[in-house]
This record gives sequence, C-alpha cells and structure tokens, in this order.
Amino acid sequence: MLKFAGIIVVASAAGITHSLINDPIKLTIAPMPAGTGTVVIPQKPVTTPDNDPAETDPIEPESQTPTTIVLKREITLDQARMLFENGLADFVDSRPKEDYEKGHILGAYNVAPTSFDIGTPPVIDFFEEDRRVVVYCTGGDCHDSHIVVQKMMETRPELVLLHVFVDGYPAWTEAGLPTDTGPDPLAE
Amino acid sequence: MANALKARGPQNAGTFASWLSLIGRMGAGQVFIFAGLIKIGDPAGVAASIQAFGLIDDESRLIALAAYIIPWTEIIAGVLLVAGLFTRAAATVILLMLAGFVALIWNAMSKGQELECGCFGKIKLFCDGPLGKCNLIQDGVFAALVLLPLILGGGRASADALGKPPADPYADYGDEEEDEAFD
Repeated sequence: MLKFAGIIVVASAAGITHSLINDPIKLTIAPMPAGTGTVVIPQKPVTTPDNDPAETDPIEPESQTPTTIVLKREITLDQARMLFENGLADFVDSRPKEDYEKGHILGAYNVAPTSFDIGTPPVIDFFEEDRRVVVYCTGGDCHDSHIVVQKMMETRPELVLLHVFVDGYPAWTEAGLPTDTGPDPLAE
Repeated sequence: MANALKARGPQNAGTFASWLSLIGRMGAGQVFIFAGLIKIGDPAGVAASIQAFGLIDDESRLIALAAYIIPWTEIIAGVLLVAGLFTRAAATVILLMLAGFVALIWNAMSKGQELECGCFGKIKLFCDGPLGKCNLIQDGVFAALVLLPLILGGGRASADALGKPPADPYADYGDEEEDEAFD
C-alpha cells in the first residue's frame, strides 16, 4: 500500500512540477465577439471537380441574392469552403512545414505552433483586422489550429475574425477542393 | 494461490511463473512507457482529449493538471513494471488507470459520443476510428497482461528479486539433524 501511494505521490509531484515549468494550457478559445461572426455570402453556383457542370441544376434567379450566415469560432467544411470560394478569408495551415509542403489549401500560409517559439511569425503582421483568417490542421484530435488561433489572439488582440476549420486538411482534400504544394511564399 | 505465491517472494517464483510475469511486465510496461512518452510531449493534446469527454468543467485546472499527471504516472508505473521494482504496486496503478480508461470509454459509448482515442496521442497504434469496442478489447488485453505480474509477482528476472538469494530448495524437508551431521 505504501509503495502504491509512493508511486502516485511521485507521479503527481512530477506532473505538477512539469505543469509549473510549462506554459499553462489554454483549453478553450474565447467565442466570437457579438456580431463578428456574421458574413454576407454572395450566392454563387458551387462546382467541384466531382460535379459534372452539365448535370448541375441551373441556379434559380431567386437564389442569386446574397445570403447571410453567422459563423462561430469553429467552422465546418462547408463554411470554410464558402469563405474560400468567395475570397472572404485568408487560410493558415498550422501543420508542420514538411506536411505543408506536401500539400495545403491553395493560398494558405504556414504557421505551426512552434513558429511562435522564436518570435511572432512575419505573416501574422500581414493579416488585416477586417479580414477573416481560417486556421486548420489535420482535423480529428489535432488541436494545433486552436493553439495557433490562441497565439494569434495573444500576439495581435485586434485580430478578432479568427476561425478554426475543425475538419481540417483531410476533409478539404476529400471534398476535392483546390490545393497546392511547395514552400510557404513568406518563409525565409 | 496469490497469497501463497506472494509469500514465496519473487526470488522463489517458479520458472514458468517467472516467464509469465516477465511477459506481462514487458508487454504492459512498455506500452505504458510508450503511451506516456507520447503524451508528455503534447499536454495540450491530452487536455483536449480529456475535455472532449465533457465530464470536467472546461475551465477547471483539473484538466490541465491531469494532462501532466496521467503521462507521468504511465511512465513511472511502466518503468517500475519493466524493471520489476515494486512490481505489484506498479501493476495495481496501471490496472486502476485501465479501469478508469474503460469507464471513460464506456461512458462515451453509452452517450453516443464519437471521440477519438487519445491513448497514444495522435498515433493510432491498435485501434482506429472513434472510441469503441476495439478500445475496450485493447484495454482488456493490457489488463490481462498486468494481472500476470500482479498475481505472480515480479518473478526471478526482476529488481524485486535482487539481493534476495533463492531459499534452500530442501528447506521444506527440514531435516535439521542431517544438516548437523555434515558440520
């Protein structure tokens, strides 16, 4: 019993010491400030490589009117796609550089969580306050996108239009949406 | 039987029991060391996995603390189990952790939650997809492995057995008069 308690005490002490040495874990990202999630989407026909244009239903004149959607901090594939196709957001890939270079969302910049260790990544300073930024990683358990959004909020508090694309890059490629390869154009 | 084996001590465990214990210790111990090392490099990931169960308040410091304490417990108990030091205590710690994991998985399954397993961080070692039967079976196998050293003790190839010479194999016969005759 004493040995059992000893193991628990030593492991707890090691864990608590480790937690004090490391930066505190921030589990939740603050929700979007009131009113900042509203986006006006000019209605456009949605075509994907899977869709044969000949089979696509003609767009009804009524549906050409802009639609308004309200985005939360975390957005889905459809919402990310709408922002992308209407040019309403910049995209940030929070995966490691090697993964980014193998393939990323067309036009995305690479900002991995570790890139903040040596100061603010240059691309962060280029983002405009009134433009949305969508950060993604590999979906599922991946939380690097949350960490990058958190760090961006700490680095530039005026950037409020930040979103996490929770389904991530695998969902994007599965949907056949535009991707690119190669290094980040802003990388040194 | 367990008490009898325990009373005999690790240095006196039979060869077969020692081998069984060694298999259990190496199997479960190494898996837990690996799982702990993976998690310790990614405490935020562990925290996110714990948070996903929705059992603890998101803002609670408990989640952040657990994200550090769980991997350290896995590593320390795993190393002790592999080394065969405080074998039964280490096996008990691991068994209790496994019971906790099973309870969490069962709870998530009963609620219909589709959660990713944070067992080995981002690595899908034995099971893929959301938490489910595969993870229960996986933890059941680990529990079976841990039960071996828990019941049989560390065996001869363990740190617990060091410095303890095997008892006189003829001690049970206890023929003291004959021993004296050889003096």
